[in-house]
Amino acid sequence: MISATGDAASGLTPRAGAASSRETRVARTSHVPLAETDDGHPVIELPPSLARLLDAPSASDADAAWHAFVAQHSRIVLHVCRSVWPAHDEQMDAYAQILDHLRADDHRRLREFARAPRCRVSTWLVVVSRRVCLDLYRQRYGRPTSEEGREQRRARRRLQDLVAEELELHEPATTEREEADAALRHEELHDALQRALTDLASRDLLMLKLRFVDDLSAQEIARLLAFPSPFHVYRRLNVLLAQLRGTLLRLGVESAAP
Amino acid sequence: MGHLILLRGARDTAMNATPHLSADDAASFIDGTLSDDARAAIERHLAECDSCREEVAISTRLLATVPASPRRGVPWRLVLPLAAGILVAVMLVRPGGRPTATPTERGGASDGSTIVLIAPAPDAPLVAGRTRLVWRALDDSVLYRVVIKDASGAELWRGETSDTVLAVPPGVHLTPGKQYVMRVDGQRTDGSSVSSTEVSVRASQ
Repeated sequence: MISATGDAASGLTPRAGAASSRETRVARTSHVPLAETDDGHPVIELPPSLARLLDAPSASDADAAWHAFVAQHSRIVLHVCRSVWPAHDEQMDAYAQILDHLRADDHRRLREFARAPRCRVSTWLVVVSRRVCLDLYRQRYGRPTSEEGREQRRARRRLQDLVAEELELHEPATTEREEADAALRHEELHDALQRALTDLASRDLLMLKLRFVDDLSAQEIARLLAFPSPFHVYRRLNVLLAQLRGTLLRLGVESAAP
Repeated sequence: MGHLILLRGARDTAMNATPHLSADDAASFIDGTLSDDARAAIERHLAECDSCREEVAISTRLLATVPASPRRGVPWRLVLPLAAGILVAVMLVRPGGRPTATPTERGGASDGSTIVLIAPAPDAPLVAGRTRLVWRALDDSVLYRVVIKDASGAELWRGETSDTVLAVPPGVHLTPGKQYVMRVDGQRTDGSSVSSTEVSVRASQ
């Protein structure tokens, strides 16, 4: 079995050394049929159902292969449709749209994917299907152009709130005057936290966001960020929170309470 | 992923100016199949780009929560009673008995094991632009595909819908008086598919 690589508690990421990072990658992808080219790029074996579809010698073979491919993956595609659309009819519309998208131009998108597959077809299908669903949603209900910026600001705000909560810096105010003071100090706390978060390495900031904004489990984060185990994620999160608390103290912020 | 690495300037600056992740990049990141450099570049992008990060997080969760496929096998404890039931049914059915489908229902059984066609009626002509094909809904169906072929078996037209009605579009070239064959295939949510039998229809004179 692959040994743990790197010590998250010491602040080193599991990718600190080339050899250890390679071990980690192999460990993470043990479920994927994986080989590697000479220049280090992973190559993933094409699933037989997709290979049959793209190599079909005749239209009727392609038709049969398409049905087999859809049958194999419709469960996952429908799962994505249900996650975006609440109503059955809309889910079915989205499902049909995704099939159209995949089938268009003689399965152009699937052919592009198959040219150098770097991931499992099921993972790729989830991402692509969700994008088609969201496009359909925007076509029907529209989206203000400034929405993305607003969402980013909301997410940042949410991260600050959640980190402050984790650091136990938010305290309830009781009187009206205390409320006004608390609001002011809350703003100061947010500014200080924003500065402290800006100083973090990208990888650490990403981990905090995945944990506190996206609510991913430590196990999911461990898989995504190539940590050997969820415990390494917990340890690293503790280190980061302690680091943020220290930065806030240096900036003169101890609590949101007046 | 090369484009992302090349376009990025100083660390963590102007991240929103970098392109969003391609579907390939996002999926490869989730599967953990990228090279270290590519992974690091994507991590930097995700730390700043909330929409890409959200996509990765939601897709990760969706993959972890895909419902398991239903069991296909028949439990052994059901086999004997089932076999006995079939035997009794076979012995009781006499030739020339009551037909299993009403005259207007064609192309399948009404128990949901095949698709039952309702329209056009057996003697109704097929008219491009006018004829509406109607069939009985399958339980848990997600998509239907209608195929019309000519007498030689060559496919003339196909259409897909999640509804149980589909009009033959005006552009379909039907020779008056000629016989055609149509079939409806249904896709179920569990991935299985069901077809009607092929039924004959004559194009309008």
